Amino acid sequence: MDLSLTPGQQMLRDAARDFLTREYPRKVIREIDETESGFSPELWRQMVDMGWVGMILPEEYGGMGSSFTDLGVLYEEMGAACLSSPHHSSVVLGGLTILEAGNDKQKKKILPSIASGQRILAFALTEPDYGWGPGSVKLAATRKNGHFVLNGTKLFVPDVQVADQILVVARTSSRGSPETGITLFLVDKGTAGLSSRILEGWTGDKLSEVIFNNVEVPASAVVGRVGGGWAPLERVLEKASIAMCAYSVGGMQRLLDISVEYSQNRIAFGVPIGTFQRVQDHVIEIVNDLEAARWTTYEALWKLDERQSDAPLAISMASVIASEGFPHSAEAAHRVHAGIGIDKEYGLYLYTKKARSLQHYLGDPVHHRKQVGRLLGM
Amino acid sequence: MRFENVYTPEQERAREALRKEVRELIKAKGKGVSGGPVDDRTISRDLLKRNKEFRIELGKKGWFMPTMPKKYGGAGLSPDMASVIYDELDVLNEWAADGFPGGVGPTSFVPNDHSTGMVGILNKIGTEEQKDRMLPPLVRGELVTWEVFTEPEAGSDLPSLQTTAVRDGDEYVINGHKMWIGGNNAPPDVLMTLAITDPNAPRHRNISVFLIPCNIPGVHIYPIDCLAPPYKNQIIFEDARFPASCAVGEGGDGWVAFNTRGGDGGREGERRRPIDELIDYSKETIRNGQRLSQDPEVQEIVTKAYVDNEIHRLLGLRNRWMAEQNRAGTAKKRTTYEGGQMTVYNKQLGPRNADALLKAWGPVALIANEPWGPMRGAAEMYHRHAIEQTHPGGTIEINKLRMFRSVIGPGTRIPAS
Ligand SMILES: Cc1cc2nc3c(=O)[nH]c(=O)nc-3n(C[C@H](O)[C@H](O)[C@H](O)COP(=O)(O)OP(=O)(O)OC[C@H]3O[C@@H](n4cnc5c(N)ncnc54)[C@H](O)[C@@H]3O)c2cc1C
Repeated sequence: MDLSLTPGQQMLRDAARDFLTREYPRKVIREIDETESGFSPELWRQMVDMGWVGMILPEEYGGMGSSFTDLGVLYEEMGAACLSSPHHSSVVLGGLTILEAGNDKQKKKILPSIASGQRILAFALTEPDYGWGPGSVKLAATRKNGHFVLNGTKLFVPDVQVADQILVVARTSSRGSPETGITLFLVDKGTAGLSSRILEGWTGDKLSEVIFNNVEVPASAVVGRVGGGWAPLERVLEKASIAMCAYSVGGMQRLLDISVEYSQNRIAFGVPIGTFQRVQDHVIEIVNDLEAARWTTYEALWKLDERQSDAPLAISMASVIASEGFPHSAEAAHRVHAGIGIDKEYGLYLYTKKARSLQHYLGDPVHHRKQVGRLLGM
Repeated sequence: MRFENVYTPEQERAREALRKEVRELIKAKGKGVSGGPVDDRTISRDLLKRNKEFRIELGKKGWFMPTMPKKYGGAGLSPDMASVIYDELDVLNEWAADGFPGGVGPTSFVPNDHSTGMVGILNKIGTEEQKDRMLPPLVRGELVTWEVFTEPEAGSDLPSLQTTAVRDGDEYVINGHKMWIGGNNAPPDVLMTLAITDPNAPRHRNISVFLIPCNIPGVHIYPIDCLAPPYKNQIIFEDARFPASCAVGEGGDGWVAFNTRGGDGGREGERRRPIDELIDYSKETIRNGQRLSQDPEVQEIVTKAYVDNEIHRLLGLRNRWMAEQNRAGTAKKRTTYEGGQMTVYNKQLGPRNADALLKAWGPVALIANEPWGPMRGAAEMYHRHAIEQTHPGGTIEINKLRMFRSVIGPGTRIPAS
């Protein structure tokens, strides 16, 4: 048994941490967050240069064939910095879906440009009839003269504003079980009939509403097999979920670090506030959330890399823990900080709102608990 | 026991008459005095101006602080009668963020702001002359008042504050730095300020309270960009001079003053509308072919929140009843921890409610846009407010400390005070 990172993973972590602490402190993250697109082309370029963007894709498509644990190490650092980028949408959700479901031609054409960051994908799954199972996919794709026509609404889609194309999970048939009619389409954002707007509110990443009003796409836009989208998608959703768990672990680690630091430096009644047991309790809550999330996440990543059959169970378990723990830790951090925590300049809120939107991303705790139950044969 | 008030026909008539009168005033003068769940940048000066004008209209009738005696500008009503007014004014709070325990909407119509605290202080430590002079404009709603207590290095530990006010002939000269200041209404007319007046006196007895006009040289107000509107402010006093008549009390009683401010509890014990919104939205929203409320998980979240909020209501009802008994001189039990308990419960309930909204509704709870954002977009703001509202007037931790002190009774020593 060895629960430590490999030397390569340690290097990756140190490099990411050095770079992000130096160039992307909370002040800069906030500046990016407050732009309309929430996207920094400069950051994206730097991520490409450091090899982060292609890393998870196979070498033959311009990637590095890194393990999921490697990806987890990177996501932990991105979470610590509270970084927003289209990495997850474009590479993890988009790239891996093309890899899992696409034909050779599609893989050769699309994956290298994703790996090089030149092409950015958004990934549109959820709809107003909210849910993450195949049954919640209603957006209709109907055949017409060898083309497909898409009609419906996708909601809470991250990164649409910076994407070139959207990977759309659509329904081509309502016969049989819900998963049989799911088909994946890669749609150019400029296609006639497609419109989107960024939703305002208290969200971590910019989320959009995307409306498909008779959007006509060629048959070549289908990724993989018509009606065969769900199985590969399910595998991708597992990987994408666990990556975000690692992100949340990083977020919680940073919440802990700043809370500990503040509790030692802030003086009240002549002593550091960390002297007060009520403050200590909040710090301990964060440590407990963090450690539970860290070890469930890394075990799940390891199981994924080892292709163990119970990896999906481990992933859903980690998702429950991380998606509840991150907002809970943010709340505890606010309690430690009191006044200064509400000052946007201090930037604690960036984590708070990120944690809240992540709670439902790709499956809320209830969804994942049900998955755990199902996988336990209950 | 009886958990509701029963009125004689005569009382009913009086209540109905008052209700009608308030409605008429709202109809005539209450247009555009509150707004939607918007950020500070969209709260217009105009809206704030109309809001203030309407306060003054209420004040003319004695309804800005209806329980205050008539001679000070109130209407001399019982808290129970005053609640008729608050109930009617509630229609101006069309944006529900305010109604949720632990949240206060920026542009909702909050009938009495920090002025209530100042009135409480005057009642406690003011001389008769000060009360006669200072109470009426406050009670009539003419002065937007901000509480100016906290400093960068003195929050929970307020008695460590450093701002000084030095007597110079008929004036005081004040210097200092205040933090996280501001109420729902702006701009302020007067600042209810704590400052050290006697550096040689022992802790807790060296501080005095002042009601300082804002329009004097040397008062600088800088907004702080906060996670929920309205923005809080830093206030810098730089050799600001004001007349000695702005001092409240005899001097040195600022700490007593701080500990006695508080509202009249007029609305405590009522069911807050947003819990109804939580239930209604869950019942009305159809997802995946069934009502949200039919989902057992959603049921569990909503019913838990309902129970939490009912407890909140009942604790408030108890406090209101005790206050009425105290007022009538018929109280059998001394009020001790009840106020503090309500504060702690209220502050804890805000984030719990926010959590329930998000878990029950999903990400729509974080969205402001129509048609997706529930509560006309106020739900997402509620998330931000709930976090903020755990701190003003003392953190949960500090309020637990206060509550514990009153549970164990006076005279028992506990650390950190
Ligand atoms: C939205 C908002 C509005 C506000 N409005 C006003 C206003 O209008 N006027 C005004 O004067 N002030 C205002 N405040 C300031 C508010 O009163 C202070 O933020 C609050 O008293 C806490 O002080 P602090 O922020 O300095 O935190 P600190 O005192 O530094 O507290 C940090 C942490 O230490 C804990 N702690 C401190 N002492 C103890 C102890 N003895 N035992 C256990 N735990 C302890 C606290 O509970 C907290 O968890 C406002 C604050 C907010 C957030």
